[in-house]
Amino acid sequence: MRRWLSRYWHIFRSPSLHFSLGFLVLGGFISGIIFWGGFNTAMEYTNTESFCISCHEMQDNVYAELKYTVHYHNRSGVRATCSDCHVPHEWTNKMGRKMEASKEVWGKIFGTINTPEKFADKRLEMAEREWRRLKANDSLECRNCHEFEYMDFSRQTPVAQRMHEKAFSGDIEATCIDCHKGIAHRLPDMSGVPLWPDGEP
Amino acid sequence: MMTLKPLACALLMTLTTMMAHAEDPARHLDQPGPTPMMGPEEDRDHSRLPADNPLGAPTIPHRITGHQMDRQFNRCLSCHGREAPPQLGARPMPDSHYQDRDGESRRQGAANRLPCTACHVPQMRGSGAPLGHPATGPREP
Ligand code: HEC
Ligand code: HEC
Ligand code: HEC
Ligand code: HEC
Ligand code: HEC
Ligand code: HEC
Repeated sequence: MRRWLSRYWHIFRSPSLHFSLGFLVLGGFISGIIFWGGFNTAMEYTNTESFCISCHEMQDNVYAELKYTVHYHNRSGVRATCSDCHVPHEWTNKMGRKMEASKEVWGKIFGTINTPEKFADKRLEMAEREWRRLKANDSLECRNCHEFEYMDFSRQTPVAQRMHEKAFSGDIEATCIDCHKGIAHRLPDMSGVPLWPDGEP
Repeated sequence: MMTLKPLACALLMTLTTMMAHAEDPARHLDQPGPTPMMGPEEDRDHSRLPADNPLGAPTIPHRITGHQMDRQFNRCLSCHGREAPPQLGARPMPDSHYQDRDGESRRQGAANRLPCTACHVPQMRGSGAPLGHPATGPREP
């Protein structure tokens, strides 16, 4: 066994007889690109909405509801897809989220939310995880598209204007999700969940 | 003569930049000024109901598009409920809304079940949601 290993180690280490160094470097470079590209294409596919809703758990509930909201259908025709709000765009965060996502495959196999009743029972728990995530990253996904800085407050409704001015000026410590829960899907029973930031807006 | 050419060039360039920066009387026209309020406006051409009918439910002076109103959650109460922060400037629902038909106080949370839009309707110019607009989504069974 040892001998066998050391023989291969030797071949592995000895200089190539048939191929030039240049060829090997170039070949390595090209196959690197191909693998990397394939990897990224796979990553990209898993970011598409059709991937997300390939599971009925995602299609029947959250997707069906999203269709009735401003993020799917609106005056200007700009829309947000699942991954705009649910997968961080930065690569490192992206991998982190993908790792977490393996839990969903597990959930699929074991049917944690495969009926409307089970989904309803689990909804608050799942929503709370999303709120925690958005709270922790200062609603990064929302801010990828919306920024206080570019909002024309004077074109907003009076309530929105007042609240945004307070949040923007730092009068209150609040991020988008503190005030905008249920922006894309229906909410579960919210008794006990604060709808506005701590210490009132 | 050869040395004058670049000099003339530089002079010309300075002149043109100076001209471009000179005070242009119409310049402020492309500066953003205070914008007038353009939010969805309440339709005041039609008097709000209570003026005509003291028992009528007041109309809603704001957009309610997509507001969830089902047995799980009623968005109206996030602003008009008793726990809503007063800074929002939304009047809390009157006590009548927390009473049953015998005048008894409803049990906690029952106000959540009120179908607000059965009595209150938006009266907006432009972007108000007419009743039964698809954007209010499917009702929960
Ligand atoms: C393999 C089927 C499947 C696919 C594909 C899928 N999901 Fe899910 N998703 C699930 C299941 C099952 C759960 C419940 C997991 C559990 O039990 O915790 C879930 C839970 C979630 C949650 C709640 C997370 C939490 O922390 O509880 C979010 C958000 C979510 N999915 C978003 C997405 C998005 C965005 C996509 C596409 C990028 C997607 N899902 C693709 C099956 C799927
Ligand atoms: C505009 C942003 C946005 C978009 C687009 C969006 N979501 Fe969500 N999603 C949220 C937020 C915020 C929550 C946290 C719960 C809440 O506030 O409704 C959430 C919660 C969820 C949950 C947990 C269950 C629940 O309802 O709370 C799942 C599952 C989910 N989303 C899947 C999806 C899928 C699948 C899509 C695409 C079809 C999608 N989301 C599109 C913002 C979004
Ligand atoms: C992909 C870009 C995108 C992302 C991500 C996004 N939004 Fe939006 N959002 C939009 C667009 C576009 C509109 C308005 C469309 C219109 O009115 O024409 C909108 C509208 C809204 C509105 C107005 C709702 C109404 O009824 O008019 C709110 C509130 C809002 N977004 C909050 C959020 C929050 C909170 C998040 C994060 C959870 C978020 N958005 C993420 C693009 C986005
Ligand atoms: C302190 C609470 C608060 C915070 C924080 C907050 N909002 Fe709002 N926002 C409101 C209220 C209240 C409204 C008006 C009612 C509604 O549309 O739900 C509103 C309305 C909006 C609208 C619609 C404006 C209009 O007049 O049509 C958009 C878009 C929006 N918010 C986006 C955001 C985004 C993006 C963030 C984070 C950068 C954010 N908000 C943070 C309270 C807040
Ligand atoms: C984001 C907070 C918010 C939400 C959600 C909200 N409102 Fe309002 N509402 C207000 C504010 C603020 C006013 C004060 C008037 C204004 O906007 O100019 C108001 C005014 C009203 C009035 C007029 C009261 C009077 O003094 O005559 C009625 C009726 C009303 N809302 C009903 C509703 C109903 C029904 C819903 C749910 C479909 C709802 N509101 C959701 C904030 C809200
Ligand atoms: C059965 C009809 C009915 C329903 C359902 C109803 N209201 Fe009313 N509402 C009224 C009437 C009538 C008034 C005015 C008389 C009064 O004060 O009771 C009123 C008054 C109000 C006012 C104005 C308070 C003020 O001081 O001017 C608000 C805000 C309000 N309702 C919100 C709501 C909300 C939010 C809901 C849903 C949770 C709701 N209403 C459901 C009939 C109704």
